[in-house]
Amino acid sequence: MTVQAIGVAGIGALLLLIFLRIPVAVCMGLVGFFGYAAIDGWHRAAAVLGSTPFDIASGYALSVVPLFVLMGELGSASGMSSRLFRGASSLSGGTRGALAYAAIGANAAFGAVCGSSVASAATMTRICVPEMRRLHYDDRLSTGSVAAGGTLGILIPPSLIFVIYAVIAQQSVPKLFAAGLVPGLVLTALYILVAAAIVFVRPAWAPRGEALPWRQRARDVLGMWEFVVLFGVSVGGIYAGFFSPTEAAAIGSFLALVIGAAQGKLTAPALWACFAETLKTSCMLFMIIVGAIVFAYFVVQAQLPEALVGWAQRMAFSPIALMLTLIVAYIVLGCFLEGIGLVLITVPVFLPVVVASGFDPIWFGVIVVIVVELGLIHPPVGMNLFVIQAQVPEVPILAIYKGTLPFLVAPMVLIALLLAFPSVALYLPRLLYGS
Amino acid sequence: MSRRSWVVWLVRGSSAAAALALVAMMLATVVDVAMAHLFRRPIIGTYDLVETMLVVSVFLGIPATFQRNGNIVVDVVDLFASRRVVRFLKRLALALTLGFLLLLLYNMIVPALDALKFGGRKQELGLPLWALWVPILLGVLLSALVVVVALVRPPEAVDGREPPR
Repeated sequence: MTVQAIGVAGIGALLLLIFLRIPVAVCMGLVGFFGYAAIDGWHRAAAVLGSTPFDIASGYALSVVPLFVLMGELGSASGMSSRLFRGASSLSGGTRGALAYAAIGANAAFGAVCGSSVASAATMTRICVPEMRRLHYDDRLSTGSVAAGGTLGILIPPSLIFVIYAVIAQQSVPKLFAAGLVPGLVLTALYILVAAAIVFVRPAWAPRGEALPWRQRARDVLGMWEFVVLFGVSVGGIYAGFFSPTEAAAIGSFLALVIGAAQGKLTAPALWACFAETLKTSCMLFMIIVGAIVFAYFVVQAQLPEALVGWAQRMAFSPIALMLTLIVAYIVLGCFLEGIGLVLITVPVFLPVVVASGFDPIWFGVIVVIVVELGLIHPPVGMNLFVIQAQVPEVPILAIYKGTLPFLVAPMVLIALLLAFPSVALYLPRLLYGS
Repeated sequence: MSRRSWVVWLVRGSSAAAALALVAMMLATVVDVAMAHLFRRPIIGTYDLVETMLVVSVFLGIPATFQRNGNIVVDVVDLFASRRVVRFLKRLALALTLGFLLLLLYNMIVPALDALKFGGRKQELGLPLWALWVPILLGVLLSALVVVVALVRPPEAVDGREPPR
């Protein structure tokens, strides 16, 4: 049996185990360990498995993960998300569909302090959907706009997926954070356009709301000051070169703690819940990174990237055709795999082919995050859809599926834009950090 | 006190220690940045402290993640498999998870002993590297105990759907 055959068998075993609902981290760790042992012997596989947890957890670079998660949790617990929604809905008040646009805008803003899409969707569903239902918005529009808006959390920095991609692809976190900002804003605009198109075609789904006096609007908009401070200091500090990502995350979480405490929102139980949730999310990510690193060792030993590069050369694919093939593969895999697992499994295999074809790995990181976003809102896995259904169980999952479908157009358009104009993603990192 | 409640209390204790480590990580970094930017006097050893606290918070936090079914699982199969099959798959997942944790624990003993034998230290704080292995080994051991407790529960107890992540 050739090493490539062992590699392919390993990938098959991995997908089978994931399908059999074994935790993704365990699947990657076990397949990686036994696959590595089959190629290079038990002794070396044992050395890799035994040393990986220490190497990963004692690295300074990954300390950014729990600190940014904590910032999002504290921001959410201090009621920032509801003030963002109020501010955004005041701004668009009086127009038909105002709350749908506000839900998307507030999600984008919340994504700028919380690096997780699922957390954004869960938080904003609790705030936006009941209000939209009260004002007789159609469930399909309300859940669709929250599901789509929720995905912005992983594209607009700080983003946990970008940090994980940076670790696996050995790229710079600040560059990736800079690369995600403009596409994130473009995607926000595209989602609002989709919502506007839905409102235009089905006006009955979005009743016209009451326009608020300008003084009230100004007060609601000013109520979003905490978001401006948190984003400005943490992510702005990274862009300006004042802070490393870990320093920015620590300062951001400290500010969120001070703001929440000053407003009297962070009681002892609320604070404990924030820390418990932060630890749960961070530890889950670390377990999966440990499994992925072991799996990546196996992929390299099995020479799968070289085999894939050779295959692409034999097929004489143009770079664009290759990229389109990979994007289709991501969309198909996204039907069955959860986002982080998708990134960790595919990046070690695909990245060498992508780089060999002349693409920028930072640009590819943005593409990967967008296809992961697509996976979050398309059936059957569509994690955001399940999260929304868990928050509003009275809305049938089918209505959520139907409501989200039109929004799938927006990330597709953004991918097309990025293929045609890579500078949409690369302009800002080049401006801030050089080429 | 039953074995299960012992494990629950151990997990609570390790989670509290993990949360404290996270607070230490945050405060140490904030003070270091403030000192560096305001007084040009960064605190020596912050890097080492953050790395050490990261190890403590991650590995002492992991048992609670296992206790709360916090690991990512793709449950598409639930849409078409019978309840009996899903129950069996959940048991299989627990058994494989236990196997993985024990494999991890067994293979970490050699590098941990090496750290003790060779006496490596953190550059700035001078903390011995073997000390970092203590929370790692404890966290993985406690996680394995949590999975054992879940595995010996009656079958009906594993029927609940995992919370959304």
